[in-house]
Amino acid sequence: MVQKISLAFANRVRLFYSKTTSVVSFVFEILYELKNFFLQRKITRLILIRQILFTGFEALGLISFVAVAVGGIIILEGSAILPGFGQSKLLYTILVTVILRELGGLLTAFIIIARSGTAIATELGNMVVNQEVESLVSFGISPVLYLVVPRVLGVVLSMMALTIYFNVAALAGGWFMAYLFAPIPILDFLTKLFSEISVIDVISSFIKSLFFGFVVAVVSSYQGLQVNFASTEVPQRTIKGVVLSLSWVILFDILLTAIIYLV
Amino acid sequence: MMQKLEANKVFYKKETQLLKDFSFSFGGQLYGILSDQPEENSNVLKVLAGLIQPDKGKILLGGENVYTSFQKKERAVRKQIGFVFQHGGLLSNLNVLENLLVPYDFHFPEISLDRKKEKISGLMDFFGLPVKILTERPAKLTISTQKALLFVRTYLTEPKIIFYDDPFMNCSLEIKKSIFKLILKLKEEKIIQIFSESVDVQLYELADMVILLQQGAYYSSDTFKVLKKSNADFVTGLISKLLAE
Repeated sequence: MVQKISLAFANRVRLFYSKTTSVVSFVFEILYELKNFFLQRKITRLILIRQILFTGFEALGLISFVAVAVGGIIILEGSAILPGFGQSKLLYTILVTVILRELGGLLTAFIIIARSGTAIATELGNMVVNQEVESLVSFGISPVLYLVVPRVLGVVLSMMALTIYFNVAALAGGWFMAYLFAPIPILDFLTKLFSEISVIDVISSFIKSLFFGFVVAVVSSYQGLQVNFASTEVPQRTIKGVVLSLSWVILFDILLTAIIYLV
Repeated sequence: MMQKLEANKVFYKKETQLLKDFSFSFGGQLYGILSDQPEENSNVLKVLAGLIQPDKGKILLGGENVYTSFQKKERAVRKQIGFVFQHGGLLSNLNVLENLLVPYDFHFPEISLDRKKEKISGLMDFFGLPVKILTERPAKLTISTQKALLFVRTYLTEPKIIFYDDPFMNCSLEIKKSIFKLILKLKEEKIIQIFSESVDVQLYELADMVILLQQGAYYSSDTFKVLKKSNADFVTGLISKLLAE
């Protein structure tokens, strides 16, 4: 019995070790191929442009809606609760803290996981089944260079741009909601808002978006390329990609917040 | 100097033994592979083409191992090898022209786009494919056309060694004729061509040498004509099975 349990434990450890090594070497391969990406831009440029268009440009509508709504909701909730404690001036602090420090990056990452993460895992998985990845290998083109690096760069750049856009749109949504209930000149609103924003908040938002974009693209690409031969594996890997991306983004968020604001 | 592809004690096992201590030297001829595990022939070709890493042994091209990572030196090795897949293989998110240009741009960045397009339309014409499909995505085309495009893409870069995995599968009669014509032309040019075919026995008859594999191990090799006269049970069994298909 004890032998069986220890054998099962040893197998688990071995599996964990091989999976970790596989992911780590995948990340290193991406970093290594980054330099070749610029040398081979003739064949990789198109993939990068398409990824930015899909992840960045085509997500603008959804991002705008969510951002304006979230900004508005924060002002609504704050206006309802804070005056009761005589803390109305904290409204701007809460808006900046919640949007700039946390929700801007997190919600943008969630939207990108839902749209682009799933698309990347599905697309790459189907490419494996359809022998498209093998055909790249037959030309001598590294699948990581051709398929993964442009997607990682595209998602990271889009994530950074969309996070900035989300923050601006959410703050604008906040102003709009505030204006509806108690008309406030935009200049006053902005003055109060900027007095609450620190350089560290902006840097934190930037660093987080960079990490989140990288994590989402790497996890989704890795899961997509783990498909072997059957198309039934594609949805399974896509779901795994979503779950892991969400988990890693939240873990990184906690870690980065702790490093930036507590250390 | 004529190119040589050498398999040196190659050993590869999946669920079954695919290659067992396989050694062979391929030189400017047309080779057919016939084995008692025909469903695994694709993997045997992929190991020989360096797409799958063997468990043991080496496949050498001009002294360089064909299964290697993607460094500058190995890129030059892969430039010389073409592989026509049994099915699929065209990048579904690119149109036909973009698909054809991927390996062409990668290996020949110095050639102008106009010259590339000229060569592409020449080859498309040879296979009887209309130029208007260049802007279409592969999914919109018939399987036979997709298969023909795999040949066009492979021939564009003028490899010195070409692997064909079931080249006639899903091909229309017209495309089949064009493939035959081109294989014959390349045979005269002493290009190394290695195939495995399950639909049409004609290509085996055309081959300079048919290599027989028994449970992944080299059994014998000769022309199809000679092998047909063999009395060995293993050889007659393999050939009658092929002829029956």
